[in-house]
Amino acid sequence: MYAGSIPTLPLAIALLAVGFCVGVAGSFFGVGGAFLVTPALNILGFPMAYAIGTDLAHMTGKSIIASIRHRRLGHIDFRAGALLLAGTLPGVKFGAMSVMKLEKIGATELVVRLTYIVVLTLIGGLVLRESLRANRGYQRERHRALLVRRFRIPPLVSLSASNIKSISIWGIILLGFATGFLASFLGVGGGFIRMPALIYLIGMPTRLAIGTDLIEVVFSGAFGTYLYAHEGRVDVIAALVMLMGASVGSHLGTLATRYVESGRIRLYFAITILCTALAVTAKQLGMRSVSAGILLTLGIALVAPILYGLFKGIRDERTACPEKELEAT
Amino acid sequence: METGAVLLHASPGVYAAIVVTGMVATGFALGCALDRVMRLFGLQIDRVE
Repeated sequence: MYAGSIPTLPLAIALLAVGFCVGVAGSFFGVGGAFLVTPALNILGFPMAYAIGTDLAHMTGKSIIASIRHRRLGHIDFRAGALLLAGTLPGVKFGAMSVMKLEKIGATELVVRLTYIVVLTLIGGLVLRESLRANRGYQRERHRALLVRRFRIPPLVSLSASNIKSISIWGIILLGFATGFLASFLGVGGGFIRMPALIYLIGMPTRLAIGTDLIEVVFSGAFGTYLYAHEGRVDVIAALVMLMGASVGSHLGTLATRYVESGRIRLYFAITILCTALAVTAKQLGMRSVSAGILLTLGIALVAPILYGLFKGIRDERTACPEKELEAT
Repeated sequence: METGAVLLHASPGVYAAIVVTGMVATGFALGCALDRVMRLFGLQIDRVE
């Protein structure tokens, strides 16, 4: 595969489909979706380095599309995003340095993969437990959010978009640092870590956490694209084809966040994360095809309930206010 | 494509910067264009209060 070759028609269709699926799921959860795209591209014949580089390039464009849409919905807390970024960048650097240190003692593969499995299982399990309780009508647990808000070292800042009256700047920067470190250490964009961290540790509403996280994904994606393009590991044409599919998908995925209830978004997210943990475990045990199969099935299976929620929401809204629809036409 | 390959070998930093800028610009253009198309189909969305 050469960086920039024109894909055949079946490959172009497959790339469009992958882009569409990950566009829906990524903008619905506020993640880049690298854990779905990279194995899919690998199966389509891209060597791993090209798969990662091409994925990062399309992720940058896709996250911008989703951010535009989330901004219109008022789902982005720019102040929190900027503060998080101030912590994320040194965190990414520190994470990369730790990987280099591990490389010297020859333990990178094992430590990184085991950490990945533990982090995914932990996040997935916690979010699943909480979302199931929320769906049963329990009030969301706020004590973890209070932990970060109790961190009162000045200067304090108010995040009016997220309805947080006062929170320490250092608390947000520290959170950005921790998530940036983990993302870099695991070699992922980090959306799946940041999104629940914003909800449970800062106390941000789910929709705002999704939108704010996407801003971070734009920066991490652009930085990653630069590094991989520098080494000639980005298939620009393939990334653009995927971006076409992702553009439609991310519009629909973002719209779906308006209609699907927050508890349900977190439930789908938890299932996705737990399935990914299963796929990584399968990979660790040497079952590469099983791992890829789980991720591909997950990618396709995720899109159906999200789109169903979207179209059901639109239909219900129109049934409830037919006069509004008439006005629009 | 040939130009891309030449540029990559001659100046990888400039090539990488062009790729990033291209992706950002394409994403922005597609985002704005699709926004208009969605409005045409009555799928315009407003800020949720």
